[in-house]
Amino acid sequence: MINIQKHTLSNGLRVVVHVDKSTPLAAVNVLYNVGSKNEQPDKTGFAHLFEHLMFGGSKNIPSYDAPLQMVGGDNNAWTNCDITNYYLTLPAANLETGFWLESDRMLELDFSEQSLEVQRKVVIEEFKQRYLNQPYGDIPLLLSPLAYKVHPYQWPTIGKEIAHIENATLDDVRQFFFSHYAPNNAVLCVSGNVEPDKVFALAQKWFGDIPYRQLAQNNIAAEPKQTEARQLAVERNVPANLIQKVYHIGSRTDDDFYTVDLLSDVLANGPSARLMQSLVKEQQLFSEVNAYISGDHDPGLFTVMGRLLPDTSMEQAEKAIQVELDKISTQAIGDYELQKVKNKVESSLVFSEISFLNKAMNLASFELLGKAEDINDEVNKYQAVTKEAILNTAQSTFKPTNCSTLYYRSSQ
Amino acid sequence: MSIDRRIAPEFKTTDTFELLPIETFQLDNGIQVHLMQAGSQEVAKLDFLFPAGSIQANKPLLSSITCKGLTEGTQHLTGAEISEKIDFYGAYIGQQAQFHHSIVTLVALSHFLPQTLELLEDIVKNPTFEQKEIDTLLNKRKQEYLIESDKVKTLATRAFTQNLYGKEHPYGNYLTLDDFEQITREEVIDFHKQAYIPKGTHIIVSGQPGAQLKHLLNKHFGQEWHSTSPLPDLLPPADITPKKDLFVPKEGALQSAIKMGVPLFNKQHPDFHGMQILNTVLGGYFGSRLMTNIREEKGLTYGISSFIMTYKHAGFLIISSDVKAENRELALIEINNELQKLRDEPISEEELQLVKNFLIGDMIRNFDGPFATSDNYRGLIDLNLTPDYFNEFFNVLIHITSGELQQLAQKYFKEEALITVVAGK
Repeated sequence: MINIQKHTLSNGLRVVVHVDKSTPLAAVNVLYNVGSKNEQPDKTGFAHLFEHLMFGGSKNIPSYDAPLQMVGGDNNAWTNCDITNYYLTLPAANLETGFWLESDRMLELDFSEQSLEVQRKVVIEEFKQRYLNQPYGDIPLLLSPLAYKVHPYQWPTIGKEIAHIENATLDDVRQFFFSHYAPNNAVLCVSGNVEPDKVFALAQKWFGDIPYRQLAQNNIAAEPKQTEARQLAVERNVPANLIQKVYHIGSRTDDDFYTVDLLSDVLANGPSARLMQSLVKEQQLFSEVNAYISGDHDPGLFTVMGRLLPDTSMEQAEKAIQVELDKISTQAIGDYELQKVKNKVESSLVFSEISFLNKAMNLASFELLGKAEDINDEVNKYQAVTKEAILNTAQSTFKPTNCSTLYYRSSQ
Repeated sequence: MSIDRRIAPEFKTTDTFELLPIETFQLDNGIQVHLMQAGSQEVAKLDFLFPAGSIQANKPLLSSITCKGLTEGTQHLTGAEISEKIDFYGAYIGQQAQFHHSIVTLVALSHFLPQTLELLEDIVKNPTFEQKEIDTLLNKRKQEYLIESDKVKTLATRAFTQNLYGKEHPYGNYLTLDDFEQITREEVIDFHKQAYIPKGTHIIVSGQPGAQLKHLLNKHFGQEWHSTSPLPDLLPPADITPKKDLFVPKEGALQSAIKMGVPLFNKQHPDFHGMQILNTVLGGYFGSRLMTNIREEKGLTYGISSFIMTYKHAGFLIISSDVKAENRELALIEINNELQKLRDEPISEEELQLVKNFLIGDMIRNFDGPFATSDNYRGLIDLNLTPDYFNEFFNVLIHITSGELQQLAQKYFKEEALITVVAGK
């Protein structure tokens, strides 16, 4: 059971505290409810570029990193299609430095042309390093627009193309800040060796006078139901063929989330999972297979992928995957298999509670989606999943008309 | 009350470092156990370090295929049955072959230790290494090798280590495609017999394994199952003169990978702690000289960093970055400028204080809790160092001066010692 205390400031900032006295450190995690789904189709990659700019100095503090390093702290951030998450850890005695730094950049950034200029270049190099100059790196760029035709999940967080990042202006930056970065659009979570009363007092002191802001209207169009099988074939200079299939599923907050998650576990969580045993070990068709769900805030994707061994044809590979998906869609899994994936979930939840930083990130995320306390119900929700529900979910998910398939062929 | 946001809050620095107590004891057959008992979760992690690394194997792939093959079937269980059991207990078993050890790691909820350790005993002592399983592992490993070979950073790293240690010693990273055809089942079985033995084996335990730990370890691993001594330890060749500049071309690369560095020494060298601190200034944290100049001021790269790699018998410092081809020369010039600055000018008191404070915080993070502590402690086993090694580093960190760091830069960042490898275009 994770202990949780909460308070909401008058400007709408939600503050969550978790006490963990086993560490001499503290974590400050600030989650903003903005991701690449909030971008315009002609200005993609912006939420992530913006994350870089958050380190370029704020209204009253010219450098974010140096003062934090001076007190023994370390920090980083990440952006996905739904959220942007900033986190730092420091010796608990120096907690206030974290509040000082995080509150000033929530108050206002130092909108600097120079910082934008540099970070545009940095992010373009990141785009190349991670997506264009890596074997298989461009898969998200190919699959997202195949699976989504309307919803902004059709572009990956890094952006559709480098030109969008090149064209970002300081006006765009300013506008993005004031319409998405606001106390009423964020969750502050503090964990570690802290006293909740002191945390709430610090939150009031540093974040209390940041004004409530009018947020951009988020009229994000829902993705219409897919009604036809979609395929895309590409050829790249990579060593091996790869196949990736994605199916539309529900959102992180849908009731069947836990069922879909366990369905993916039966297929691919751990060495004994079905796809590993059948496709890699027994039939020896693939060198690697995987299945996982996106867990996005809006309806997301169920991914099944495999990298083919040299003697396996694309047709064979697809058929073998299909056989496994048909099997799990027509025959209920056994009691033992269900118990196994539940055990695995239970131990991974225990493992995830070891790190105080991990807990801060998770609590912020739960608070944003509903309430932080929900984290303590996770085990029960997984335990309540039945094999009948898994069968039904498999049936409704693994339909050809719900699927987009990428054939990634090697030209070598 | 309004606050002045331009003024940083007061902060504290600490000049003491506290390491979790590390208890050591021996099993009945002499296997050394190192225990870090702490933590609020009923979870335990056990690292088994066998003298079964690529140095002992002295043949490419032999130690890694043997290590990975352990879980693919025993005299009592098929590979599928082993996987089923591990997953049913919600446990995790990991295997990795290193230069001087192969490590088998078990992470489990503590109440499943009796079952999982029994399973681990079978895996370690009775693997059958069926030909089919070896083939599966080799196929998988070969594809991973080919994919890695497509990455400019891998090409540059391989060239860098081969340049230092040659193609005959494992430190040189000399695996070739041909080697995948050379591994036989007999060799794997034989290497297992000679290397997964009590002598030279260490077990590092962290978390809350419970009061039964010693009993369980003795029950499953405390008997003599082989009385032989570990295979010999091969020193890297001493007569290699590395080339100063290497270029590995790769058609169609969008970026070039830069690896630049100098040969150093292992952890026992008297200058090692100081070099760790100097490395931090150069490229060891986000605010480092290289990151500030090459990423934050010039935007030439997504990332640039330096770190010191140490092995039992050697070590080097390496600077890594991926940049677009037209920025390559500028990046190399700027890296050289930063090295020269460290040689020519003392680090300012303010920067030195910042780096010291950052590293103190980093020490606390790196030793926060039993699992983090055991990960760091594991690096001491090769050289039989005691945990006091970390206190020594902390002591050097607190007292080192900018004058001493400048001397280290002059001694080790000599222009003639620098090796530059570029892969890409």
